[in-house]
Amino acid sequence: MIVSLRLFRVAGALVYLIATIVALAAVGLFCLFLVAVKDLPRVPEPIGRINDTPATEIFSADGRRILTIGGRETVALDDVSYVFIQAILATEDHRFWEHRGLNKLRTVKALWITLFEPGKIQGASTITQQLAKNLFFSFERSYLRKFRELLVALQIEARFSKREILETYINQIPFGVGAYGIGEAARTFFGKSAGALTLTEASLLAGLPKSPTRYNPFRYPERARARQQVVLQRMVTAGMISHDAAMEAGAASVGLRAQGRSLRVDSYFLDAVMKTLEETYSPEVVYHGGLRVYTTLDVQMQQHAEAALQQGITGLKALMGVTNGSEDTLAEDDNGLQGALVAVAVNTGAVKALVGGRDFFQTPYNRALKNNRQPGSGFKPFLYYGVLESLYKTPADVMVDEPVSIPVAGKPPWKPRNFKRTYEGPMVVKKAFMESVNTVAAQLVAAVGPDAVIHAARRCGITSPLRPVYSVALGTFGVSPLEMASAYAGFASGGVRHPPFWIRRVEDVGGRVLEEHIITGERVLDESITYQLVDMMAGVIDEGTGNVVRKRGFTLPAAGKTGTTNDFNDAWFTGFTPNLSTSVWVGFDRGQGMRDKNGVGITGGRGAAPIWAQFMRQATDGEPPRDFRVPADIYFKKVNPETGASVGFWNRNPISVALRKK
Amino acid sequence: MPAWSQPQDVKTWMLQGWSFRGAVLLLAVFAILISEVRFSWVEVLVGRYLAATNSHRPESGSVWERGRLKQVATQTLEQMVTRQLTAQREAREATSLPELIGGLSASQGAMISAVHFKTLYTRIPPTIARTLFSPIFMLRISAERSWDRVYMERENEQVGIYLLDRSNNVLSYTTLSEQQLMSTGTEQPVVSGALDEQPEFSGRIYPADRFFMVLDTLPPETQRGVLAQPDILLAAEGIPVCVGFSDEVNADLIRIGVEMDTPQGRQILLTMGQEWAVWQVRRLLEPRLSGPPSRKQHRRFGGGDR
Repeated sequence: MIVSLRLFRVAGALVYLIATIVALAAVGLFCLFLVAVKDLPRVPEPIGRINDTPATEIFSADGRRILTIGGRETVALDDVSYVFIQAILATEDHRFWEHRGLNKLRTVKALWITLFEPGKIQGASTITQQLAKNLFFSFERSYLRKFRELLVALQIEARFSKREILETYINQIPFGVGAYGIGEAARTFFGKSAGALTLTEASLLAGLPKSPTRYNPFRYPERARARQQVVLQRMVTAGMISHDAAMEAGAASVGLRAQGRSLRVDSYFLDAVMKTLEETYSPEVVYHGGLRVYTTLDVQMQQHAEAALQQGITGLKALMGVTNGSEDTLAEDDNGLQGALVAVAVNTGAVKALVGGRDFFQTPYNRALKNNRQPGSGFKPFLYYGVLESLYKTPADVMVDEPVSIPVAGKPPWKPRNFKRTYEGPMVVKKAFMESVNTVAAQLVAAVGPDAVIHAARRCGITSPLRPVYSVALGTFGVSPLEMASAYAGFASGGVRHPPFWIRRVEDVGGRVLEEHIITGERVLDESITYQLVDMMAGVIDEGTGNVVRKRGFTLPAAGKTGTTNDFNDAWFTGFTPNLSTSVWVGFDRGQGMRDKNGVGITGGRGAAPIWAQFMRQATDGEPPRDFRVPADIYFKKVNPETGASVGFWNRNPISVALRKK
Repeated sequence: MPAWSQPQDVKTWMLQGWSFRGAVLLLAVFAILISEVRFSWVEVLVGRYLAATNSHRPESGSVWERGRLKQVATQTLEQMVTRQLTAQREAREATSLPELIGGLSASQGAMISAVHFKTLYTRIPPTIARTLFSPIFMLRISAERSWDRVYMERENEQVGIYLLDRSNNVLSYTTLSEQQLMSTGTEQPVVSGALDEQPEFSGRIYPADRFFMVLDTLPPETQRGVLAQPDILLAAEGIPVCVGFSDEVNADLIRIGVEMDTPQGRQILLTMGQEWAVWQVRRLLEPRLSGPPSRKQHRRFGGGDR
C-alpha cells in the first residue's frame, strides 16, 4: 500500500475522531447548559435599575457634602468623554461592538493557554461577561460559574442594546478609593465631569478597573502610570489613536486632583461616623437606605490637623534620622512613625477634627479612638485634681522632690524616677506639676490613693479600663486621644463635661429627622478647684515642659500637659483654649521607642507639642484672646517656688498660684 | 495483510468513500460552523431563549441581594420614621403633661415646641410645676428668644425634660421620677418612701428639727427662698422627720424633699428652693462648707446655662 493512501486513512480516522469529539462536546455543552440554566439568576429590566439605590450622604458642620455612599451616579453614555469609551474598550474588550457576548477567538486561545500551559491563566471575558459577573456572581473561580456567567452575558446581549450594556458597565465598575462608575471616578481623581476627561486622564482611569488597589494612583503613581502606558498601547494597536497621540498623552502630567487626598483625609473621621451609624441603624440602612448625616466636622480644621500631623511626623522622622527609603524596608505589619490628633469644642463636645494616622489608605487603624496607648504624665491632671479636692492641698503647698520608695502590699516597693534623673528638693505643688516631677506625683498618689485619681478621670469621661494601682497616676493604662481631648475639655469649661459626639443630625432621604444630638453639659468637677488646675496647666505651656508651644508662636491663653511613656514609646500633648481642646499623640504602632540621631529620647514636649502648636495656631487664627473664666472665690498670689512663701517685687522668679478664699 | 476489500490506491479509496449524502452532510456541518463563527447564531438563540424564560428564574445574585438589602433598609427606615411621627403626633396632641409622658416609650423620645410645653406647664398644679422649672426662668429664656423646643425621653426609671435652643443646646434640664410621675396631674408632689432611698438626696439629709431651727434663724426673705409655701407643708399629713437637698441645680433651683412620718408610712413631700437660700441653710447645717457648690455636690445643668 502506498504511503499517501495510509495518510488518507489516518486523516479519515482523524476526521471521525474530531467529529466524535465535537459531537460529544456538543452533547456535553448541552448537558452543561441544562445544569447551568436550572438556577440561573433573573436579569433585572431595565438593566440600569442596578444603580437606583439611594445614596447616604455625609455633610460637614458647614453643610458641605464630604462623602456619598452608594447611590451611584449614572452618567449617560453621550455625556462620557469619547476617549474614555475608546480607552476602556481597547483595554477590556476591543471587539465589543462585534461580538454577541462571547469573543470566541479569544476564548479558544484563553482555554488553550489555561488547559495546556500549566500555571498560566488567561482571561477572555468580554465587557458583557464582566457586567454579568459584577451583577450576579461571586468571585469564586469555577468552570460552571464561568459558564453561567457566559449564559447571562448572552441573555444580556440578546435583550439589551450595546449602548445600554456599555452605559451600565461604565457606571458600575470600581475604580478604587471608593469610586464606583466613571462619573464618581472622574470627580474623585480629577475633580471634573466624565465628559471633560482628556486622553491622559481617560487612559489612566481605564487602567484602574483591572486592579483598583494595585493601581491606585494616589498611592502607587508609578504603577498607575505604567498601566496607563499599556492602555495607550492597546488604543494604538486597536487603531483608535495614533502612536504620536499615545506618546504625547503618556508623557503629559496626570494632574490628579489636588484636593483628592485632602478630600479623603477625613476618612478617619468618617470611619468613626460610619461605625456609629452602623451600630445605630444597621449596615443595611447605612449602605442601602439613603441617609443624610450632618456631622460636626470642621473641614478647614480637619485639613489643618492633617497638615500639622503630616509635617510634625516628617520633622520627627528627620530628627530621628528615619528616611522614606528606610521606611519602605519596614516589615509589612510595621506602619512606621504614626500619630493622631483629635480636636473637641469645649462648650459642646463636638469633635471638630479627628486624624487617626498618617494615611487612612495605608493603615485604616484609627489611633484617635483606640485606647491602647499610655498617656504618661498626661494623666497627672486627674491626680492633681484629686489631690486639690480630697487632700485640700493648694498649688502653693510645698513638696520635696527626692527619691521615693512607696511600699506596695505583696510586691516590691514602687520607685518611680524623674525623667531628668535629678532631684530638686523642695518645690511648690504648681512647680512640680509644671515640670512634671514624678517623685512628687508618686508621693501625692500614695497620699490620696489611686481611687481618687480614677474617680476624677471617670468624672471627666475617661472610660478605658483603669486599675487602682499607684502607677495609674503616671498614666500607665491605655487611653485614646479622643478620651484625652474630651476629658481636658471638661477642665477648659470649668468642670462641666460635654460628652464627645460627631453626628449632629440624621435624616432620611425625604428629610425626615431620625436623630438629633442634644448638647448636654454636666457639672462633674468643682469650678474653683478646676480653675486652680487650669492655672497650673497654663504654667506648663507658659514656663513648663510644654513651653515649646509658646516658642512656636501660639499666643492665645492656653493650658495643657505633656506626656511621655517609658522608653519614649509615646509622646503626648493635650491642651486647650477656652474654646477648643486638642490631644496629639505620636509613636510607633509596635511601640519602638522614639530617639533622635544622638540617642536622646523624644518627649511629649518635643514630639507632640509642636504639632499641637501648629494645629492650634491655624485652627484659632483670627480668634481674639479670651482668658479662662476666674471663679469669684479665686485670688492670685506670687510665691517662692521653693518655699511657697509670699514674695515681694524684689524676689526673682516668683511663681503665681491660684488660691481659693477660705 | 490488508483485507481483499480494502482499496489499493488513493483513487479507489476516494471513489469508495464518496457519497452524495456524505458530501452534503460534510458541507452542512461546515456551513453550520462557518455561519456560527460569522453570525453567532448559537449565542443569539441561547440568549433569546434565556430572555424568554427570564421571568421564571430566581432573583438571585449580588444585584438582587442589593435590591433586597435596599428593601430591608427602606422598610426599617419607614418603621423608624413612622414610630417617630406617631410619637411626635401624640406628643403634639397631648392635652396634659401626664398624658404626654405616659405616651413616651423606652426607646422613643418626643420633641415638642416651647409654646406647647408652656401650655402643658400651665395646666399642672403649681406645686408640681415648681419642681420642674422656675416660671421666671422660663419667662427669661422666652424673652431672650433662645428657647425653641423641649425634648422629653425616658431615662432609666425617670423622664428627662430638656429645654433646648435652636442649636439643641440644653438651656435647662430636669428629671421626673416614676413616683413623681404618678403624682403629676392632680395630687400633691408626694413620693412614698424614705429620703435615704432616693440617690439624689444622698449625703444631704438633715434631721427636720435641726433644719427648721436653722431656717427659723434666717431672714424672712431667705426663708421664702427655701420654702416658698410653708403652709402646704404645714397642711400635709404627718410629722416632718428629715429634710434632704437634691444634688441637681436647675435654673438656680434645688429640689427639697421633706420626709414625713404618716399613718400610711414614710412619705416625701417635694418642693423647690432657691439655690442661694438653700445654701445659706446648708452653711449653717454644715459649717465646714465654704462656698457653693460643695465638693460632693453633683450639679447637672444644660450647656447654655453657665
